Amino acid sequence: MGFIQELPDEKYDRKYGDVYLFKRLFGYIAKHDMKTFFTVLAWMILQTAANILIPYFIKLVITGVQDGNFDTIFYVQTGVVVLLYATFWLAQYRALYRSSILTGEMLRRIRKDSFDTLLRNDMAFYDENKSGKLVSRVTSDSDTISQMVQLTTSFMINILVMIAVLVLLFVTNSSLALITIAVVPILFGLAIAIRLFSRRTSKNWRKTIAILNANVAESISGIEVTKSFNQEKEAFERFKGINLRNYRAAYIRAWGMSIFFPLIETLFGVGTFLVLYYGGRMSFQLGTLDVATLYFFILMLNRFFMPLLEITRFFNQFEAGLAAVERIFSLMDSEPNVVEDPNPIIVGELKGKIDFGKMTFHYNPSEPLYKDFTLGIPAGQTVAIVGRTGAGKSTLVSLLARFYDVSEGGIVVDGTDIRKYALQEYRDQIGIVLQDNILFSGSIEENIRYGKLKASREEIELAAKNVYAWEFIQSLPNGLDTEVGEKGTKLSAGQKQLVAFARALLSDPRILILDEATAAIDAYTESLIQEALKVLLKGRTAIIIAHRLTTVENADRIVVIDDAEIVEEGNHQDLMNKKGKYWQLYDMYFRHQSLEYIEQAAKLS
Amino acid sequence: MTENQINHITGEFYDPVMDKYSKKSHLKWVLSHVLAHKTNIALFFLFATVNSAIAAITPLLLGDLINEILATSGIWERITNLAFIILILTVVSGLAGFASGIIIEITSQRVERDIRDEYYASMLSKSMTFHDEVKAGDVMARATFDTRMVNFFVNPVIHLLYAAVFGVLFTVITMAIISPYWNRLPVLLIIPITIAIPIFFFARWFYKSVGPISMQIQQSYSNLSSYLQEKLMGISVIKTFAREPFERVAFREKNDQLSEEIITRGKLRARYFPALFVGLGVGLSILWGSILIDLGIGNPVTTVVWNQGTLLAGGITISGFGLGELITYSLLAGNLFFPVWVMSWMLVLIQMGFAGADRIVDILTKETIIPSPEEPIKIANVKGDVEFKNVTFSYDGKTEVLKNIAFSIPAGSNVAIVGPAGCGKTTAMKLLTRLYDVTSGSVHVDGVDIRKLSFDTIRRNIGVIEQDIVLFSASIKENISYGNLDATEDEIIEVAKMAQADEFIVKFDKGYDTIVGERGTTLSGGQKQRIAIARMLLANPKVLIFDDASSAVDSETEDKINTAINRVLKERTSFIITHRLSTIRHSDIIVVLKQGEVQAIGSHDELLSESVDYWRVFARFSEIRKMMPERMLSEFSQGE
Repeated sequence: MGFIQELPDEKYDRKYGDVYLFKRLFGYIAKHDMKTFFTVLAWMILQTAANILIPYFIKLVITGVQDGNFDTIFYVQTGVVVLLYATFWLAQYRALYRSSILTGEMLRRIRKDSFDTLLRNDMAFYDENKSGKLVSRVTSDSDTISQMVQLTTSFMINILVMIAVLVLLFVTNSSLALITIAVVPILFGLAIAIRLFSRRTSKNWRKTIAILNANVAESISGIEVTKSFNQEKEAFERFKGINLRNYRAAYIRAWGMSIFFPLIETLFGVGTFLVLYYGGRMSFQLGTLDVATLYFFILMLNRFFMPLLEITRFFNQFEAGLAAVERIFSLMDSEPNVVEDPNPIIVGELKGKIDFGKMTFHYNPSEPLYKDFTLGIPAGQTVAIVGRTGAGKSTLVSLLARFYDVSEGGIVVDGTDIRKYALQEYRDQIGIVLQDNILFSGSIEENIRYGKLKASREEIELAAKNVYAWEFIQSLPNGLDTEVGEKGTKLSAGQKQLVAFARALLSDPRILILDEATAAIDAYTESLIQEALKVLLKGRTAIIIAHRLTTVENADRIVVIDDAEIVEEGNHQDLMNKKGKYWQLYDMYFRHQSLEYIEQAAKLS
Repeated sequence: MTENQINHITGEFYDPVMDKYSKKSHLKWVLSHVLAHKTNIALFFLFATVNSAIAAITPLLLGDLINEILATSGIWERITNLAFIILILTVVSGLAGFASGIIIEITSQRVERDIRDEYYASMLSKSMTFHDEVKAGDVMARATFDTRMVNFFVNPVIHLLYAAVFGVLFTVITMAIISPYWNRLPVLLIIPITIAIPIFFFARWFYKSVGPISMQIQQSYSNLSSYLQEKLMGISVIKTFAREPFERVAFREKNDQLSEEIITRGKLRARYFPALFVGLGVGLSILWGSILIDLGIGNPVTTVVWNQGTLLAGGITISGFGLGELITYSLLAGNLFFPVWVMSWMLVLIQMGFAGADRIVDILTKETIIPSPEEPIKIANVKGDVEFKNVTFSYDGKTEVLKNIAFSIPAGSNVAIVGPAGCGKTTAMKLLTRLYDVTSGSVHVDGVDIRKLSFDTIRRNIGVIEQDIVLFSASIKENISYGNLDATEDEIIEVAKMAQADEFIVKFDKGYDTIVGERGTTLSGGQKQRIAIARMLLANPKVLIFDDASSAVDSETEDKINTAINRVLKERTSFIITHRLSTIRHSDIIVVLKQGEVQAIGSHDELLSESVDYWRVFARFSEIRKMMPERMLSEFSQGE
């Protein structure tokens, strides 16, 4: 029922005006479904007309009965009443039928357009917007929009109805009409007040519900900890407290919710009483009113009060509704910085020659600024990038994958600026494995296949074997078909890394980027992967951000980066001999991986 | 409830609320929840009845009033009296309506609260086997959506259904009283009866078609949002592999399905709209009533009343069914509108409520608890001897994850458990805390089979630091004190210092009051680990299991973590699962696992001279070739 469903109310900075939003919202309908919209409107007007005419004809019938005129005209009039009811139903049915198509289609389009916008947006957008918020744009905000359309349409219709009813009442008997609408201000005021109260209490209640749900979710994900610390009793007590708080909020909310309809009904009763009392007097004592008109007023009362309630609903909710409309439109208006060239160059098979040419880029204050950065990597070379935490290593990777665009200069691959390439074709030839890899729910096979959608099962097996993931996959009860769970939570960090590795290799990238990709894998498996990579990387360009000594030692070339600048370059032996930055870093980052360190670690305490 | 006093094995957690409600069937379960609030329900029935009765009486009085106006002998006082009675009844009905509304709403909230308590307690009592099997999202859905549905079953379903049924009943009785009688038959009742029959069939059709699709919509909706949630979290993967076209199609499929379903439901609902029947009922009542008046067929009871010299003049029939009755009648027919309208809606909610109840009961009654021993042995201070006797274990009854594991660890030893990913290291340790029960063999602590020990003894004396550290959404202080709720602030800071966590904690703006966890500050893996170590130091268990997560860190951090680890391992029996070579190197005992079997066991030096598998763990590929003793190299190269 209308009263219970309240639109969520979220603080939001308004950018657009109300009128603009309405225009745009209806423009959205007009663009696609103008015809359906007008059909709905036409049926609604017919429905309203029939609804208002019913009391009028009943009045005629009653006059007939009162006068004892059971002639043909009387039966025609009675027949018209039945017919009007049938029309009312038919019009309502058609209006509802067409509008469910209208809003359903609109909802679909809004969701589709929002999701397309999301896919189009660049990583800078995702850094700014949390994914949870974005999900609610596409789900609940777009729901709210379709409710807004209904709300507004019914608001307009109801205004029409009220005007029509008022005119009819005043034309019929102006003094009784005045008495009839006497309770309207009170009704309107009370309805708004209760709704405001309800909105506030509902907000509180929703907050407690959110806390409660978060507690349940957290308890379930942390159940092993609770059990391990033998804290079930305490957890239960805490939960009971939160649950009770929610109940109390619901209790307060219940008052506002429960008082609304009885109060309105009572006021409606008072209205009826006034009509009866004064109308009765007019007709009985003064003789200025006939009984049929009195009854007509009673019937009209209902048709006046209901629209009024709908209108209070509109006033109560349109603020929240408009905010949702605005959120969706501002999402759709967001423009990505990374866009494909209007005349993109078709990317053939890349050779993998990379040139960072005098590139300038600054993305966020915590990352260092790249200024006039130049680095050339010949095709087929394996380059290790080392540097302390926060030196800007990962930024290079993001730029190469064109997650962001440089502000000056450019990145040139195989002689062409990457901004000129067809974006997707270009990314298709780049493979990335990170320290924290995201898997999607589904089987291991499906996750590896994400690298190459048309891969056969044999290819997937081979990819898994190449990165030594096969052993653990085999040990799982369902092998490749094992479900990895949401975000891959059913696998350990090391296992996830192996699957991500297989996924990246399957995509057969010309340029492979490994960003601390083996951090969670045991040393032995990692060394096996290193051996395998020597074969797999033949003919490919690889950029490796490394934390393991062996990886660095195996690279063709080491680039030491500090504060977004290249400070040293060369191979391991040369750089060690130089006793410069690399040598210092080595002590800081790789010392603990040496056997000497291992021997003396026990003394740390 | 007596029916629940069956011999009942309690698991890791028990609370009386778990047995309070019948779980024989979902119907009985819902019923026992509702009946737990008998007084409220009785009061609700009382007020709701008053409300419905007044709704049926008011049109009657209105008819009288109109008759009075029309009658030449009408008395003004009678008219005002009737008008005032209507006013008073309206106020009473409003009050009764409010009372019944608030009582039932509060009851429904209580039921929801009770269900949540029961559900939560039950989740705590279930074993890890259960929690591994079910999806967290599924457990959540039952705790939120399904519980809501059962709440809706109380209010509005019971509320409005009761109002509807009694509304119809009172209305029909009133109709029968004032209906014109022809050959002792209340002939005007033909109209409500003839419209009731198609309504019944229509409602049934509606119930069967709209209910399922509503549930389907719910399902599609949650599919869509979990899809979105996941893909937006992993947007970088989509971009890296340039899978936008693929995801666009996947999203459209889901979106289209949802939209189609919503449209279908909208169409079904539009078709059902009961205005037709009620409207026809009102219209036909007037038509049919006029014909009856025309024919002079009247109501025997009211005829007598109106014959007392008060009969209408002016061409109106004197049969006791006149204009006033006709108006009463059409108003009564209008009264039927709400019940009929509400019915369709309620039917769907009933269906969803029962489906929700079914799903909740289903999960509540899943018997997957780890049985607590009948006479649990309690050991206040465990020494820390641990023995695995031929332990075999399988999660699903098919694949054996551990095969015949046997080792004996004297109290106070530091043990490293090593082996490739998926070899069963973590599983073996979960058996030690009895999160799972062994399939065969046994696990002993201080010489006692842990299945005979109280859960309290096991869990208080054996601590676990997991690989994926879970911190709750609370302050750092609260998270550390989870290890010992009675700890003082000083103790908390002391353990944080020992765990090398104090230094980064004090750098936060709010220090120890910083909120962490899902809705708080994000901590790095190393930071979380050190908080977990502090938590464990506070719990101070005799036996410690440490599932170490390795990540890329610099040497300085590594130093700190190693220091913290060394401190927490001291003076207890410890099992550490790690890739951290320095930790493995200095363990007293190293257990090498491979594919669920113990390959070798011994100290570092022993294993270096006898186990190829240990070499595989400990050394890098290139080093093995350089350093491994000759006699082992041949075995090594065979394995490749």
